[in-house]
Amino acid sequence: MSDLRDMFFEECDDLLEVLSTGLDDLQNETSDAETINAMFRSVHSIKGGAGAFGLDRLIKFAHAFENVLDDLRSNKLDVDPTITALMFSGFDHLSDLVDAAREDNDLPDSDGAAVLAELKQTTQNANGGSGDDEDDANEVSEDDFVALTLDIGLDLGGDDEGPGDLLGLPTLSPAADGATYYVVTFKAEPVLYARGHDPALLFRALGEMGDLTVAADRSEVAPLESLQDAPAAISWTLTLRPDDGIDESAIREIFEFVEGQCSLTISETVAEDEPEAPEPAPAPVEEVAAAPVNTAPKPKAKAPAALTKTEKQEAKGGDGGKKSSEPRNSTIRVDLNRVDRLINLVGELVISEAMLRQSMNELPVSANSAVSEAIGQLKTLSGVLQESVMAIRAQPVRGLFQRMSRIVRESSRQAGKTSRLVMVGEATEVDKTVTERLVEPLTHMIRNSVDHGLEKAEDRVAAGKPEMGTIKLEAAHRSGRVVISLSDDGAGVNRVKVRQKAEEKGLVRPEDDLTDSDIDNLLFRPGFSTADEISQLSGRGVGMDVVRSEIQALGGRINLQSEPGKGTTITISLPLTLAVMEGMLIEVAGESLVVPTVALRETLQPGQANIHDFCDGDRGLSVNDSMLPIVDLGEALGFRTPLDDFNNQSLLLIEGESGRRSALAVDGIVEQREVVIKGLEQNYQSIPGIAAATILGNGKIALIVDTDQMIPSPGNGNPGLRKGSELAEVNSYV
Amino acid sequence: MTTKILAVDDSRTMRAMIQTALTDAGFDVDLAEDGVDGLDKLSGSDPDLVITDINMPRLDGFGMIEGVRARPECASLPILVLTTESGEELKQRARTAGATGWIVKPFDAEKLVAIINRLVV
Repeated sequence: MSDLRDMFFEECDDLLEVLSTGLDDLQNETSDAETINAMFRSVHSIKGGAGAFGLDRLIKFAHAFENVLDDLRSNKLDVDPTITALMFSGFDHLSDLVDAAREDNDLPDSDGAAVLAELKQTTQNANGGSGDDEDDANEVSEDDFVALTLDIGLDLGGDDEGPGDLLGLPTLSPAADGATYYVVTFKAEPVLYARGHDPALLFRALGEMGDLTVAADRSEVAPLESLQDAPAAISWTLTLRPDDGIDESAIREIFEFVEGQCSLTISETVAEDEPEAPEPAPAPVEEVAAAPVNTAPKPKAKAPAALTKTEKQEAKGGDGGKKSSEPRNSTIRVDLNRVDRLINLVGELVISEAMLRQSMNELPVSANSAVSEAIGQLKTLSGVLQESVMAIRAQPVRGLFQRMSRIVRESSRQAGKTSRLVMVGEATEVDKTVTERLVEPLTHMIRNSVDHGLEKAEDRVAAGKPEMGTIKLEAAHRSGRVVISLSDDGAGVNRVKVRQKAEEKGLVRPEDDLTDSDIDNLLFRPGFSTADEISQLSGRGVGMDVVRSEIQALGGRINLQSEPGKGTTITISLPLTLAVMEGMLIEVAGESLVVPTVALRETLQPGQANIHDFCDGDRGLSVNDSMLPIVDLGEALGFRTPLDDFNNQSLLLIEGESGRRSALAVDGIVEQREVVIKGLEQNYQSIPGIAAATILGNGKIALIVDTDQMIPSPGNGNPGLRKGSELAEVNSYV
Repeated sequence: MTTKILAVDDSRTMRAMIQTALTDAGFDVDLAEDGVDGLDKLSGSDPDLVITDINMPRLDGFGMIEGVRARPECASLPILVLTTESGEELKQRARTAGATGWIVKPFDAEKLVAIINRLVV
């Protein structure tokens, strides 16, 4: 229940946000009919939830508020500045009440009393002085709310008897004891069935009010050949010897919701003799139920008959109308550990399959042989199996996004700014682990956006922007990856200041030629912080470098784009699953390595003419009028000493998060393939230049290259990879 | 076969409460956020009973009920209205639209389950 309570308050936050957005629209005169409707529903939902948790004061206030909104949407009231102001006060108090309820606090009675009175008065005036304020306010008081109003009139008490018990009638031959009996005649109109009612269930409810006998008159039922609406052609006579406290109105209540859909008489008799004995219920069961199965589709199991559950299901099954044989979209709850184990096993299976395939290739077996075909099939199946297993872990990002809406509100409040969160693509599904691990980075990013991205209200107004800032979270699937972007409509990155700070920190040299994008992405560099942006909210630069490493740990890329005066967009691109990735298998110094395909742009066999030597031993590749640094992978990873030339090398053009590129020199390219990622950090800690490992088809281990670390960046050089002493040591394990 | 219920409510708290109550009682529960979503999910879900709220965005409960009834295969599907509203006029509208029953929120889980058992068994 406490989970639900938490969820309710979270939802309240969202509902209040809808309300607040609506209020803004009203004030800015950008509202339409749906604005008021949405506001009404928000307050209404708060009231509904408050009812479930017995939050009386919240219920009462929400009710008064809702009434005013109801009057507005039915045009009994017009929107004017007074009403808008009242609703803003109402909103504030409603928020206070929600907060108080959340913290289990009680607000002083005087709080909000004036607003409440004014809301009530407004409704009263709108309704010609009569209003429903007091009545309705009472209506939602806890007492009334606890009672379950049940217009279908089914008696809620009593043990659940099987339908056979109730309808295998007669249950009793009423004795001539002078007791009161009710004789009910009932004949359903076809419309009754059309509204989902079943007379058997009505009778059963009636049966729970006393001793009941049921008789059916089937004289109007047409012969089998011309049978239609058979149940509707049956008249029923029910005789009830009521339990204490059951009167006619209680009986009528049972039939209340079928009123107008049947002919019904209820009469009271005092039995001096045997009451008008209904003929013993002549087993309408089999006849009514059996007949329609082969004829009219509609009556089927709805025949008021005492079918056992099995019989009824058979009747359903034999009936063309209900597709009970279709698979149902049902759910079960499964321990996540079991799913993970399954995913691991399937990963191993994929590896075994690849090993098998590879061994096959080395055997003198024709590609058309049965064995080859079977193995081909195995490959397809294991691929589908893997996809299916991954789908189990997928869940919509909605939950994650909704958590963020709160972060936006809280950070806005702390920063003294007004902002709203817009969410797009919440239904996009992402691996559960990924959504969980995105919470912190996203929280950081949002705080940053609110704190540093959005301008102060007065600056926004001066820039001709709406006072309220907009933060947008968007998720989408794009070419096999999940892309999550966070944008704000703030001032954009102050590139002059960022560059200045980066130079002060020695992150870049004054003479470095940096593109705008390079400067923007300096924000992700470790140790970067623009000191005068320190605030309570985001602290020292909020470690966007930490954000980036978190994203990279998820196999993701992060990129920042900013437009001065317009805002900033940070884009995170993530693999759909953490377990498998597409990679290019390469060879360097006798070692097999994998380069993630996501980073790969092009593969080249360069001519000597394209390679240029620089004075400090660095070499560059001229491609399309630009010069890319060449990184000798074997050297960078410490596998060997620098090569004299790249004549026999293949070059892989890779692009990193920042959009910067480099050319990786490798000995050979083997093939592109899916690899199952095996983390290394658990055993070997983080290894520079290496992201993870995988097991190849031949059972050997291949390291997966961390391409981002293979791209020299300004002030970063080739980040210490050439020495490779650490790596050499690690390599011996493999 | 487990009884399948499609619950339509725009409040996620309410959806969660309904889901908890009904799942604990052994029902299969599919959820939808409003009338449009509810009608979208109707075919795939193939429920034995529908529970719907009244005040919802895009398509309200009345529209949802009419939409359900407009499908021949759902002509006699039980539909329960679960709402905070209790006005007679609204009830009549629901009845005309084809609702089977009307329950006023907040609901008592056991009672809701009892009612459903009587409509679907």
